[in-house]
Amino acid sequence: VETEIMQKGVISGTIIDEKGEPVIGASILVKGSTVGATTDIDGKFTLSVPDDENVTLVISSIGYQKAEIRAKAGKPIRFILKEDVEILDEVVVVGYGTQRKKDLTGAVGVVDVKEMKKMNAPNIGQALQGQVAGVSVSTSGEPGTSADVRIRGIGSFSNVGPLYVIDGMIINGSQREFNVNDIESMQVLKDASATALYGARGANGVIIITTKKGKEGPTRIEASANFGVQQIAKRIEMMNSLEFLKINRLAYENADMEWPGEPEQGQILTNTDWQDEFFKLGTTQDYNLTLSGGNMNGNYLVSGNFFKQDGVVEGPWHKRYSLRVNTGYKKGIFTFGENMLVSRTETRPMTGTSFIDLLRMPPVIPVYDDTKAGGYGTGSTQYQTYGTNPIGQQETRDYRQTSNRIIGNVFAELEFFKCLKLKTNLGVEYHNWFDREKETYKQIRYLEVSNYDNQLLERKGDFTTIISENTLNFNKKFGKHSIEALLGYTAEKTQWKQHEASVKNLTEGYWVLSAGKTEPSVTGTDSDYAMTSILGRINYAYADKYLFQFNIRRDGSSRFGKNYRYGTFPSFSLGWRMSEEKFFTPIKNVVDDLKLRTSYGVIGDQQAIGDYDYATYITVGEGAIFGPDQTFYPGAIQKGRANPNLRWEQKATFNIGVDFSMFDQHFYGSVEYFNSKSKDLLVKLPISWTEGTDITPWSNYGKLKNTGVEINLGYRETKRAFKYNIGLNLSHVKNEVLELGESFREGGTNGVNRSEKGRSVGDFYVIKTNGIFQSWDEVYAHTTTVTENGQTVTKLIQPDAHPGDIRYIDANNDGKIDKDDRQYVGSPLPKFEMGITFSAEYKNFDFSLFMTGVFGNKIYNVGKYWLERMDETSNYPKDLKPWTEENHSTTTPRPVIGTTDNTLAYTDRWIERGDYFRIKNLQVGYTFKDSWLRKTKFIGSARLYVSAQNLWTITGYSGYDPEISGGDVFGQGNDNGHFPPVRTFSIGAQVSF
Amino acid sequence: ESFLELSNPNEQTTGDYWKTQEELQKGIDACYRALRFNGEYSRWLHILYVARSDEGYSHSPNAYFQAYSNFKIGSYNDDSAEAVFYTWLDNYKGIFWANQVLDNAPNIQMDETLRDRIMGEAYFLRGLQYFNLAGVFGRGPITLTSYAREDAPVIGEQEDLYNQALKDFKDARDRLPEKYSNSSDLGRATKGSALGMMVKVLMQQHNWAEAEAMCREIFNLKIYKLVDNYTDNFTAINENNSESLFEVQYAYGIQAGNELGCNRAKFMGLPVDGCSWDDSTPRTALKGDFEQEKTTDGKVDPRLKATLAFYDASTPDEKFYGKTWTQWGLDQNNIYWRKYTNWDTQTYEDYNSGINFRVVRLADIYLLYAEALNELNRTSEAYDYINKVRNRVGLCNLENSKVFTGIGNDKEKMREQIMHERMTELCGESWRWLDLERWGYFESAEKIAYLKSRDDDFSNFKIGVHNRFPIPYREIPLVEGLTQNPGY
Repeated sequence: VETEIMQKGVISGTIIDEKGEPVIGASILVKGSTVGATTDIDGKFTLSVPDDENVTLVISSIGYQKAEIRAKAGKPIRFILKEDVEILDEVVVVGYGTQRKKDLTGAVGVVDVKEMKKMNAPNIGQALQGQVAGVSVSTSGEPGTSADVRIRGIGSFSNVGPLYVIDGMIINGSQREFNVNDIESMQVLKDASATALYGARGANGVIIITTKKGKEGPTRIEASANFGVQQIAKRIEMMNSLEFLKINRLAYENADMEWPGEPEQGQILTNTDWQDEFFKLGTTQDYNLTLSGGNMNGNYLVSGNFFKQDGVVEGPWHKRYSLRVNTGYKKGIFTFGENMLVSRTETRPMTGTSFIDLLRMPPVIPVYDDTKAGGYGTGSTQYQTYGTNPIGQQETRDYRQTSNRIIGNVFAELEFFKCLKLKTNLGVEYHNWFDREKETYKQIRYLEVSNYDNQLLERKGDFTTIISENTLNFNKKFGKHSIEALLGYTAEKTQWKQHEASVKNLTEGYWVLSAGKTEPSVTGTDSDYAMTSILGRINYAYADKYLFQFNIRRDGSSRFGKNYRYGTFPSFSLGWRMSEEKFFTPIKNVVDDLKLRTSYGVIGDQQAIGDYDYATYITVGEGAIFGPDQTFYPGAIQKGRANPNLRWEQKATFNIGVDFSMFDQHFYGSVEYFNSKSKDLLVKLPISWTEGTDITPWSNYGKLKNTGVEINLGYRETKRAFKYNIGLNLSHVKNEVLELGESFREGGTNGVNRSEKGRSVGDFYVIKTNGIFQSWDEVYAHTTTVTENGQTVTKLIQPDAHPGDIRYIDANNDGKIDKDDRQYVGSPLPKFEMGITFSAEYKNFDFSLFMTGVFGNKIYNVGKYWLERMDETSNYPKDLKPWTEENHSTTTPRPVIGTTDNTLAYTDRWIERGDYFRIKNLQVGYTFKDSWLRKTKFIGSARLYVSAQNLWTITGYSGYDPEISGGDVFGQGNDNGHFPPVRTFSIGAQVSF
Repeated sequence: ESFLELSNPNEQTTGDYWKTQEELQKGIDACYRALRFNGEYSRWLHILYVARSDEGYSHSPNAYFQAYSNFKIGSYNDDSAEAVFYTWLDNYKGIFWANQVLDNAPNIQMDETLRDRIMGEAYFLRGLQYFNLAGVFGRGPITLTSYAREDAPVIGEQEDLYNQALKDFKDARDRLPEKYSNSSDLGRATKGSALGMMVKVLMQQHNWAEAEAMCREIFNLKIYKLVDNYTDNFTAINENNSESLFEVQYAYGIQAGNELGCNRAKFMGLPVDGCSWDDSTPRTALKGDFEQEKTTDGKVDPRLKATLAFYDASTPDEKFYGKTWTQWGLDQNNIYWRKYTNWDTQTYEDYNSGINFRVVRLADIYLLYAEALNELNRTSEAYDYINKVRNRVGLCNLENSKVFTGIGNDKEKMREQIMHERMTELCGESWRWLDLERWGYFESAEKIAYLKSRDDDFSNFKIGVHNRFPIPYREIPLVEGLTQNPGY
């Protein structure tokens, strides 16, 4: 029963949702006027209208279907807003505009931002992991590092990731400066037609992000806080001192060498567990505060964020402070707005390869050793390890990185006619950084003592990009024909400079350059880069059934010589909404929607190369020493060679896909197939060193092909009390090198990766092992029979081997083991990647489970190579049982100090399967009942949650973690002691006022 | 259009360069830098020439160092094989740089004498690089211009590389001054440098007559004489002395970001905290070579202690890098390299030792001259030159030696004796490998057996294979017509 006070000229009312809960912040507008209001915390509103006149009220709120009702002054209303479940009417942001999701003809992955935010990820890259088919993400647990993001396989030889476009602004910055909490929507553009308008920058995919904006209504305050603890999820069991000494002694005995490790009488046997010493509990803190609001003419949003991560090992940490201000204003045909992000990060990165060193360091060495001048335990004549003390490494090498970034744009739009808009956008990205590297030269490694006390290195630079974008947009419907057209001109310029200064032997305690006494050094570099582009798009749809799109972009880049500066890149796509056809009617009650779409297009790229790489230069500096005082005379010489004919890299993509939804939109999904071919790839093609340089010039060379299938399936229940959504995304990409010269290209640590025609980029090629020689008979039986000069001869393959050594396969049958015996043993590229999400809501509880899996890839485990070679004094894994006279191992050779064939680095002993499946995120939340909160009068909503990341992993990989980031295209899947993703447990709260 | 026209603000394009005398001068100064590359005299040439020969071996924990010296390099010719890679790369880098000077010098309007001199220097440096390519790899492209290569290169075998080196040294000899009037030019190649290297090539080619003639040309310059103190040839004091025909100039530390020193001492010396990695260690047999003969006043040959570091029971307080052998906790049976280290002047070794490396010195030329005379059947004339070298360190004239007797005019015996004289005089100076090759030690099983008796690594030595180093494996597919050395 309503008890509103009747009043002439006033309409009051309540807006509620289907559950009967009030809808807060809904906008009520009197149609045809500028009179409006928004609902308060109880869903109530009051509105002045002319007396005795029927008016139409337009009621809208995000997440609900827009509605119109007739009303009259004095008559209170009560209206139920229906939730908007019509996902197909979702509008998605595409290049330089928006499109209804149902009209999309290109391959666009729409991220479920709400679920994504539950990952509590420190950066966009990590947040994106497993969310969209065709997007592979590898993360690292090191505070402040970006994740590797790759869309649809390896399309070029450079390491350039996707392009990030935030609120229409093309961003050069790294992922870590951007606050995930600011995201309103996120789209991944995958094929040529979708990325076409970003032309030369979009060849590796485009990630379009729009940030939250203020909404009509009273000021809204939202706050959230998250606190987490982190740990390294795995320990590698290593030997203790007694176990270590036994194997170490044996290694010297096998080498006929005197064992220097023999403990002396009365020697105290140290037993250091290096992992215990190095690992610690890390913490994360994430605080957000957002103020937003607006009216019919304008809106504003201000958001602030503080994020801090204290690493799970001694040393590294990361902090981020960010502030966002978004405003918009509309007056008649004129709209303008502004988006700005100010961000500061402070990072202490990890130095050295501590994740290998902490395993290599023998347990007999203490962390701290007072008998050493440096105070740290290191290798000694007794235990001659060259491993670095990982704690000493972090304590004596203190690197700090500070970075400030401002990204902002202002735009203005003039709507001349209903169908014609002119938009101009002016953006700037300014970034400056300051790195300070303090090195105290205390001894942390055997024999390595510096004759300097310390060194300070400072690096300072800045980077400015200015972009101007001008677009004209036409949009009109003629009966069943609808046409949208876009014409644009863009120009951008980037300037970059950096200088670096270092000095040694500083007065103790004074870490400033002026405190240094010896070897001051200063260097600096400048760089600039410009691009201009003309772009165009036509969208044509007939009866919402037949969809056609054509895009074209012509780019000019300062990075190419005069004759090769411009490139033109067209693309088109077609769509057919089959479910709109008459013949479809009989099954429409089962299949709600069915769309077929296909696209083809060519995209250019030039991001890999440097700013002036098409010419050769004279480098000043290298010089001679002459005269009785040995004076240095700097010289000048051409050091590199160049290719003046550098031109645009091209990638042509074909895409075909089907989108569907069935059973009253419960079951939905899409399946797509793509095929992309890249040519004229910009690559540093190796040239012979006899050309006099090891600075490899850029060339346009090689062809690559990627074919893949992406499947997205989901089932959701949104209407019942128990709401849930199950989603699965699965992708498969096959990469093939179509052309890369006559020979092959090596990559990775110890050259274990090989890229060659007919295979995928960076396949593992190593010598295959074939067990262990159990006896001299077996050593002498390992022969190859070859024909030499017409005579058949038998050659001993491993004449230096001894029982207990590894038997290798002489693949090329030449009677010896060397690099030419390497064979294909697998690829670092996964065959399948998947993400599974399950989210549910019941009453006030919500639950979310997210799992990822990677299958079919191999990893080169460099850490294992150091631990199991047994040719130097390193610690050994606990379960290592080397071959001895008593224990005839068939997998692990005998330990021998010094070089034997057992120490070879490029053999299949160090290659492991990299498959894994893990619970990436698990979250349970509780949202307080509105009826309780209303009593507080100021809290609008409140939610508490607990979550766990990287909770559980199934893998056969023996290193810390099979998820490896870093490494270049030619040397992937190398675990060089990478910082593994960490396990996090966190609690958080979200409150709005 | 002009918006996209951006020029490199950091460096001048090559098209705008090579116009003035000053620019050419800067070009040749850059070329001297090549000698200080790791792949030339700063590291790898020493590791290769010393550790591979019977002088040394490696017990480095780095498997590659061992593979360089124990002839297992075939299995280790990969990305991590720096000695293989850098020795090849850095020598060709030096050639590319010298070729730039030679290509551009004729087109510059400048002082003719200076142009000639600069070209002479470039020929000398290029010759030195071809000489070492011949000595280490024995095969490789011969490139005489800096311009981009269009046709397949000429692949030279060892003889061709030596011939090119000889031609370059001749061209250098014809252009270089005997001495520089300006002291700030001290360290540049001279006529004597070029002649010294010509002798080196001619000796490797067994062209005894020509070698003998070139030695005489050196003597006729009347510039050079032996220094009194033998150790003045390997320390930072008395550099560029009267005995030196050419040396690579090194200075301590770093100037304006440029490394000016040599890192040989960091790799070949005492393995104590802050000093050497001892990646190349002398064989104990060397000590015996020096101990065969005492000086006229009954003392140990002073060259022993100038060359090797070891525990001497008679001088237990002798300090190395500020501490005694015992204080460092070193094994009393071990011996290490002392030559070219800073054992007495510093308490550490870094990668920038300032000791100049003497590439050719007069004592070496005297012994080569004696060798050439002996090979030319003028054995009796050889004595004088051998004696000059012996007398300097206090040994008696060879004809009076109580240890080496009955040589007389016997050519074979004299050859053996010269081998011994070179061993003791030039031990560790990176000439032994080439001497062994010249004397045919890599060609017979009997000789290899002898080397094996001094250095066990030679049990892996295969005749016809290991006299050459493998060419970096990456280069084979990249250079048209280049094939790997036999056996690799």
